[in-house]
Amino acid sequence: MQHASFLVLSALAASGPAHGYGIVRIVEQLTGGRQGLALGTVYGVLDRLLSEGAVEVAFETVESGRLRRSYRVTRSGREALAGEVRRLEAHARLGRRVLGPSFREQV
Amino acid sequence: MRRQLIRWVVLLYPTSYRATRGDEILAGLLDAADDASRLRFLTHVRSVALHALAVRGRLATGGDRRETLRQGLVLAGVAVLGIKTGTEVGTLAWPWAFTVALLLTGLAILLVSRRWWQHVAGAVLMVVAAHEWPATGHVLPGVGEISLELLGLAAMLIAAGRGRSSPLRILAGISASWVLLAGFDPVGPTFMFSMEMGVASLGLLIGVGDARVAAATGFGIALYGIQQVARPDRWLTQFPGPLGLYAIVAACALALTFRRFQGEAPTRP
Repeated sequence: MQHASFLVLSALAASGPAHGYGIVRIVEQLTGGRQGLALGTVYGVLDRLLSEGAVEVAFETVESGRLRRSYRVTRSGREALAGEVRRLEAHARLGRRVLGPSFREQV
Repeated sequence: MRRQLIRWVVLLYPTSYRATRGDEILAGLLDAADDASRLRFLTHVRSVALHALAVRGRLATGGDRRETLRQGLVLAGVAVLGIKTGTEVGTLAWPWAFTVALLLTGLAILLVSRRWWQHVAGAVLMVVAAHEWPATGHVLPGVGEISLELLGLAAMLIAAGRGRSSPLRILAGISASWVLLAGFDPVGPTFMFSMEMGVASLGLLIGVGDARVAAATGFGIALYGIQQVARPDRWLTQFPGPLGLYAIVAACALALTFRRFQGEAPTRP
């Protein structure tokens, strides 16, 4: 899974339905501002996740004359996210084991 | 100023995509305009512009043939008018050679990303089209040099649609380009340099993320290098070496950016 896809799915899983720029803001909040997504990246990722069935359109609203199309994670999207988390955890475990005590010293 | 910029960026999307997603993207950009710093806003605008081009590329290689041709012509038109004639509007005219070159470009883009033999035919036509562009140079100064951008553009389209292509197919495309290149008499230094850049960028763009294709590309470039040694009178002494290197690096950067928006390369947020 691409890093941007992971962040978008995480944002939607954490906050519930959100629109494009809302996802950008949620990612910034979730990561404490350490990571950010550009808007075009979010729309590109949404295109792909929509085609894969990982997200779906939750609802549309119009606020101040602006169309808000909000997206939510589907069941398969959650499964994909969970699978990615398991994969990352396995990598982290491997990294800790390989680095051993030096890792704990660095931390 | 920000709102005007937003309107222009949204217009970069193909009509069909704009009809379904345009309002949403416009709203997102307006949110960014209200909320983000100037620098951050420009980052969002740039990313959306790249996404628009990625959508165009995807439609051009994945849609039906009419749509493909239409998108190819739009992209070629944007490239011609936007890149090359910006400072030479006074000389703008519409000679027949320009039309021929444009049609050849569209046809080449139409053919690439189809079946194996069509891909080779597309590569051949790209070379022919690149050969035609410099012929317009005496009428439209600057436009004749479009072959450089044309090949890069075509390579981007191929990269967008094909993902990881068969090394054999890429090798065939590159070899066909080279054979044609060797067969043509150079019409000028622009053409020769464009071909160097085009052949290299074509393979490199497609080869990003695939070592086998990169190896095939290296073979293609090596073939070109052999020609360079064999016929140094053609162009070897006319261009500084770093220029080609910069062009290739720029092409790689473009490819990575473009594929990132296609979700095919790691994204570094």
